[in-house]
Amino acid sequence: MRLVTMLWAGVAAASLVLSAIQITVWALNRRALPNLAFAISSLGLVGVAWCELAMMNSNSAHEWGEWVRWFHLPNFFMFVGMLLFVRLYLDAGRTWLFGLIVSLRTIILAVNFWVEPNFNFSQIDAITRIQWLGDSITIASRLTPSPWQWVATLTTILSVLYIADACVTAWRNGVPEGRRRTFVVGIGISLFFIPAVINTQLMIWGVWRTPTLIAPSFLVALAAMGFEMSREILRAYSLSRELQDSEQALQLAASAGGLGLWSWDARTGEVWTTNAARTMFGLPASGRVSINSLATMVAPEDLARLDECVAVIKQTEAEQEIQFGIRIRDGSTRWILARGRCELEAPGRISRIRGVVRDVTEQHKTMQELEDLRARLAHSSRVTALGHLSSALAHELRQPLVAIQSNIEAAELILQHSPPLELEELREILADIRRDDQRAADVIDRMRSLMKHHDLEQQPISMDGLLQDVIALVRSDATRRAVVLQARIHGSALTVLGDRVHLSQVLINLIMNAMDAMNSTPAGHRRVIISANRTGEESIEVSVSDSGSGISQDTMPRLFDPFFTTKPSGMGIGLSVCRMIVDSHGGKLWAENNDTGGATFRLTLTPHAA
Amino acid sequence: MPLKVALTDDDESVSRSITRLLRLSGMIPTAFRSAEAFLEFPAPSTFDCLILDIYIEGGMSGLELKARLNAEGIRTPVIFFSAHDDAETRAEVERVGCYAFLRKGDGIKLLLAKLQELEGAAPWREAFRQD
Repeated sequence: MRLVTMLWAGVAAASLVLSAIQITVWALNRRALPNLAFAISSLGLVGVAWCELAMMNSNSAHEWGEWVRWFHLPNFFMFVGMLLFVRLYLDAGRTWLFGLIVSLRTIILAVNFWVEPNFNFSQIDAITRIQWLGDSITIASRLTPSPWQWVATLTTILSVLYIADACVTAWRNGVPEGRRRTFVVGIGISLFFIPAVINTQLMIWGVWRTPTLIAPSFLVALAAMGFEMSREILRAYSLSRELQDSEQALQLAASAGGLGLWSWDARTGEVWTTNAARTMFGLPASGRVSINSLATMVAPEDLARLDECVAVIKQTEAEQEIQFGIRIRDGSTRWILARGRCELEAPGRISRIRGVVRDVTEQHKTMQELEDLRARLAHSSRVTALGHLSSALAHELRQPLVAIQSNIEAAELILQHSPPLELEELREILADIRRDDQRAADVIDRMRSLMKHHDLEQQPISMDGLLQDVIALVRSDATRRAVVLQARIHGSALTVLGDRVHLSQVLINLIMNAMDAMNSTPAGHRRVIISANRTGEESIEVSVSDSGSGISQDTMPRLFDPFFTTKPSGMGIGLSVCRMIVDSHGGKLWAENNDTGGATFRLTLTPHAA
Repeated sequence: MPLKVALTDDDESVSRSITRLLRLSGMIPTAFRSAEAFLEFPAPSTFDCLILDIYIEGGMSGLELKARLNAEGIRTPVIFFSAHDDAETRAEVERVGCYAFLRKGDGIKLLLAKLQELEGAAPWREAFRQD
């Protein structure tokens, strides 16, 4: 008895293990219904093995018959579980046939516990003990099958048909992966399960006398299917290996690119970062990081912008980028470029925000140095331009000084009479002196503001005021060179957003170039027209137009190149600086020849929205 | 007999203050804002002296005006009074000729002195008139 007991107990234990594995898989992934069906089937098999063993150990015909009855209960689950598994795993099989088989088996199960001794037999007359596998086991020796046994046989035949049909359908529909499944399931069932069932039927019908062998043979079938299913587990394992590999590759790529990775879990509020990201923020390699502790590091002037960016990220799902400064614990300041995007678990419900950070302190410094260099260049170009204007500006300053001198002389003449006769005239003289003094001061102020080193500072500027200032600076020079300056402002109260000093510089440069271009134009035909137009909702165009000889085809493409000049004493930085300044205002500067002769320089600026 | 002086300068302040000074100095000044305006004056030869700015905004320069007067044979003494003083300007002045070329930077007293010099040289004046 020992070998048989061990064999059947082994079957029970093995199917219990299989069942436990598949239940666990299903518990982890509730959509893995084939695994659940498989677990039900193998759990049924545990009971089947138990009942078969008990049958083989029976001491009386009655006891044997009782165990056959109990056999039906686990058999039902094993059977239905298997059919369900075939159905779910192969995604094939006729629904009506499935329903029919399950209904019949349910009826059989119910009737089984209602009739004596069980559904299969109407009478069990005798049992006998035989030697089998070196053991002594009990089998029934005289049996009368019940008149309804054919129903049970029918369900068995239907099941075989059902499985065969399902396998054929699945094979036909199948991709290679599905075909292998079908093959393993079909072979497993037909090689082991079907013979065992046929054996049982033949035993019941009294064709031959053997013990029922469902448990061991079905276990083999289950094992085959179980192996097939565990391929998924193997795949999951290799996937996790691949995932680890790709994560390592990603980390490597990230650290090589100087990137830190981070993510923020919306549910727990926890922040995950790579070590590189922690190093960037000067944080210890381990320990919790909270959003709040990070926020305290952000430079106060950048915090509002950062908050705004996060709000946009939460709304749009599109990737956003922002640069901000942080103060590290050691007191240093770093510049961080961060990109991020949110992941939604459902529309409007954020599960996490994920992104990268990059230390751009060096780039930021370089940018600032470049900015500084540009400012210096703009300044030196401005000073150079003023140098060219200096004699004209000296003249501009002389005028009020001569007027003041004359008035002082005049006042002295009046005061020579005692008492002075023309007090009213004296009062006028004082008023005139005050006005001329102011005029001289204005000239000096205008010059000084252009001479000073100056950082870009955007503010609303009235086009009218800007042109007046610029013309005041170049007027003397224009007069000296017999150039007529005309300012035309189209549209009332044009206001641009920009830097007053830098824009003045651009216009002065353009006007001086325009005047230079007319050196060989006969006096009386030298005309510079400066005009400002609103050309659209988002743009104001300023143009400086001359009546000179125009720009040659050779010169045109290189006009704005640094150190390119057509003037003997020119440095060739004026126009390149002009373009740089206009660029930094978000505008464009270009040149074109006029149809009527001469050239026009045009630049676009952004209007200030009042 | 007070000196009749015509002043042509495009700068309003300069014109106003010099006119005032000449008047208080006992002369009879007349101010013009451009060379063109002076040429429209019906009797340019009634002036004893012309004070001309050299570069005048938006129009004929003092040098051109002097050249025009030369061409018309009007030999009224001209004093150029300008803030500009460069080689090119000096050469131009040389070419058209003048009684005096004064820089505005030299001061107003020099202009007064030149005018008084003209005033004292009445015979000269008469000589010019006869010419």
